[in-house]
Amino acid sequence: MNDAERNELRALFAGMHDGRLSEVDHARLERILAESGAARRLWFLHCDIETGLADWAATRDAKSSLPAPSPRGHRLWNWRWLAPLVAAAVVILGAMVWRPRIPSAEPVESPAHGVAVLARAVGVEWANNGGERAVGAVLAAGTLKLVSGAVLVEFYSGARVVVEGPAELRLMTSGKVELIAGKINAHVPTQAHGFTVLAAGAKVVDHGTDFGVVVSGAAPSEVHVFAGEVEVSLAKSAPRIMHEDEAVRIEGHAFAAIPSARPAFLSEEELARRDVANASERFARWREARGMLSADAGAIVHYLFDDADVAERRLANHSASAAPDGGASIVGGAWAEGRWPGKRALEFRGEGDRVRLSAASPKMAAVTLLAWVRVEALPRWQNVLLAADSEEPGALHWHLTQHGELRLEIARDLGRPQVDWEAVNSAPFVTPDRFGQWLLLATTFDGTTIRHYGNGQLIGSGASFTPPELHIGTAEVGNWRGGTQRHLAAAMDEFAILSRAMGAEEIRAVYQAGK
Amino acid sequence: MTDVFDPNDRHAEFVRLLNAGHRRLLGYLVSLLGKRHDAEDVLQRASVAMWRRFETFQGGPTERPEEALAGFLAWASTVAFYEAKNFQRAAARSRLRFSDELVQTLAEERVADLVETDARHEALEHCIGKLDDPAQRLVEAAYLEEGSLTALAEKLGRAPQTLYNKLNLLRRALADCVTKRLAES
Repeated sequence: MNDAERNELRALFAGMHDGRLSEVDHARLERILAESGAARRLWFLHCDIETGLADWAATRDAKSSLPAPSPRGHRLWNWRWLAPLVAAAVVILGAMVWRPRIPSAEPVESPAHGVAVLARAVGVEWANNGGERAVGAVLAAGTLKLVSGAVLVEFYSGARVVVEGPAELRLMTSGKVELIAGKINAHVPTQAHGFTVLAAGAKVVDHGTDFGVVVSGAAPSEVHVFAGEVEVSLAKSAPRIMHEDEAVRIEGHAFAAIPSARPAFLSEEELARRDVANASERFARWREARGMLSADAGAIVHYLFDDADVAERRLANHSASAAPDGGASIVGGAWAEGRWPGKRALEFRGEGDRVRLSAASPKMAAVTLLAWVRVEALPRWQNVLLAADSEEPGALHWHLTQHGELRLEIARDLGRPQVDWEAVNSAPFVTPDRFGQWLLLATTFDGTTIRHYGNGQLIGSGASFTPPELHIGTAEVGNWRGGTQRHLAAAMDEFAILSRAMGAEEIRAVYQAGK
Repeated sequence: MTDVFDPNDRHAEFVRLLNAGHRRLLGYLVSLLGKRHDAEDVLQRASVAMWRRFETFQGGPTERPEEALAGFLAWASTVAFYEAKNFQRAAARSRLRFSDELVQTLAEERVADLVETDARHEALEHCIGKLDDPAQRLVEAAYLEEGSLTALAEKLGRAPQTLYNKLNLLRRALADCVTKRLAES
């Protein structure tokens, strides 16, 4: 290698380290490294210089800035996951702060971003570009767009707003919204005084009230007061105070009095009634559809968490092809409400909570794992959904990472004393904004590719080696038998294992029938 | 399956080995992934996987710490290798990465190459000491935090490319200095 070649390589190395290489340069670097052993040795040297420089910078920074607190964007090398593992952790921690700070894109504390919570949603069709929101979701500043249906939004300020679709509502702060189109019915308690609605050039400021606002493209906008008083103002006119049972139509730059029409606005009570009716409809739909999964020729395990009386500590396996003893034992856990009123779920909370199952499965070449869960938190690096006892090649471990990624691990024999585990993660899906919501998690493996689904959508996939066969055998749901804590903090109200890989359409159908 | 060892001792041993091997494992991952920040993320995930599997790791009886560490590194680098592959699959669509074949080749050769790492780092420390103050400050800014070089460029009213060029010259000079020093010793 002459100097010019060496210098070219070094420029490519630097680009690679900085993530600034063009595709062409990247291809060139790859070709050179593939062809030349000398180039690879130089690359290794430069990689060591890269880590050495980072070490040096961190050490120097630590010296110059002690004892100042870590600035944001820095963190100690994250060993917190180790702490709860052993009693001696505290002693060891002292010796563990050997790492200087290591920069990270991850902020130490994330800022609060919500202004409201979506408290109810009944028969809602969300606009494609507005993004679907689930009940219980934290709503950040931004726009809610409903094609049809109705929702109840509870603002952090305490104000409660029923939005009837079709509607477009922009949440600005916890005390201010803009109604771009549609109909809202607002209830503003004392603690939320000053709640403001911007609507088609008018500004409506509440003084402790119930009031309604309508904005439609064609007809003039209207403000109706049902209780208390509000102040309405337009750009070019003095504010007007409106009292109970008053209503105005906004015509250009003026107000015209009209009769107040409370029944025209959907009330919270009516929305709640519809919600209950809607839930029992969905519950009924699920009861009809669940048989499909149980009857599937590939179904090995199908738990509904809904059959036994509460004193029963055994889960019946509803899979049609199940061996007579294919049930499971509940260890710990507590019954909680499931997806709908009247549907039960098993809540995993404590260190010991688990469902212990024995799935006498035939030799499997493919698998589908499905679970409806409501995750409360992901406090551990591994939060087990399913863990086989066996560590034989082909054994499966299915869990959620601390970042909310679905992860499937398959044990692999590489001829060494211990098995290796090949894994494929999804993109983060069970993120804090989805905590507290019922989610369908599914992972399939068809012998070559692992695919992860969240609520029926593909959220990640990757190639895997092809194991001779897959094992479930004796396994645990929500926990595992190893020496470290990996138990789930979630409620589960349906769980299935199939010995075939379901397709994307099928998984979407399971989601549609069960959401 | 877990009560064959005292977890406290086992944990202490794990932490000791990981501490001792951390630098080399990071260097190993950088050579497969390119970006140090990616390597750090992957190593963090890999260390979790290592601890989970540590009970199955058989270091073998040895009186010599260097041998125990080499055994650990051989085992740990495989765990890290799979974690790196997993990471690359997830990132496949969003960034450029080395092909699977190249990663395989690099991984195999790099394990043997890691015995050089400590000597390189020692030499590097000596070589950085010879840089002038502005050069040291540039290195510090570039390596302390992702994106901080661009921020520094803004502060100085310079084009980021100018600083990257300077940084690359420094890297080149440091590599030459390290090579020379290693050849001398």
